[in-house]
Amino acid sequence: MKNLTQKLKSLKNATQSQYDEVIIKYSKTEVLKELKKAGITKEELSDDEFDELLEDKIKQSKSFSKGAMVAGGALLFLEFLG
Amino acid sequence: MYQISLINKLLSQYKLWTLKLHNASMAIENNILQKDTSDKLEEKILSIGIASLFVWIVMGIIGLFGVATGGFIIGVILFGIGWLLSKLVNKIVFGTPRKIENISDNEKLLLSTLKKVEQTHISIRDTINKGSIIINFTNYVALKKEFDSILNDLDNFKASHLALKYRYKHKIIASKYKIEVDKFHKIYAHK
Repeated sequence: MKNLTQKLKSLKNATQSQYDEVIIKYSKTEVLKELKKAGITKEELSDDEFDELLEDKIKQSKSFSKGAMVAGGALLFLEFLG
Repeated sequence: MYQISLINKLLSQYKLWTLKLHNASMAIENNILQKDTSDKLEEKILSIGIASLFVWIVMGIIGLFGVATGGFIIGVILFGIGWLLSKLVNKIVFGTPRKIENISDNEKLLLSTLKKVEQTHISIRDTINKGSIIINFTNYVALKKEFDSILNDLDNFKASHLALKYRYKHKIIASKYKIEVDKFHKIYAHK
């Protein structure tokens, strides 16, 4: 999660969709890593099962990364207010 | 043949389930530790809204007494007071992250039990992956007992000390954990 936070912090003047893209890419990599660790291949899962895991991971990532997006500049004008 | 394919299917479902159990446990931990920052924008907008509303209300009340209002400095001061007030409201509604060392003993116990149970199932998963089929799907009664105890703890968990957002989320997250426990029964005991 630290990697994602650092990456988001380093993005300056990025749009919301660019932030989302980074989060989705990170979440996909993490899900594949977790599947590998659990001894499951992606082919063993249905699309729905994979999407469910991905959705959970994206939710988790967003839950931690909004603060980093603020620091990264997306919401910087609000950050000045406190 | 059917039995072998059924076992293989259940083993695959079990391994996948361990990932979902991890997500459900983590959601409970993050909720107790108030770690969610996804409402950061809403928090700040609420702060601006409260501060602006405070300026309007106080200016309006002063205006009722026939005193001239609208001065820039008074406006800024009132906005500042409103902003501080909003910080208090934000703390009650959205809360601030809690450090593990500052949570109660009951909460520490609940989190450590969640981790322990998760670890137990990861160990079983690892054994399955090593091919030690013989121990698969054994010890169901003891594992069921552990889950019964956790569900009981989650039901009895008093969330009143958490910020409003986390207080209301607790029930939703606990019910999601229960869904995973139900899935465990279906997979592990094939019920």
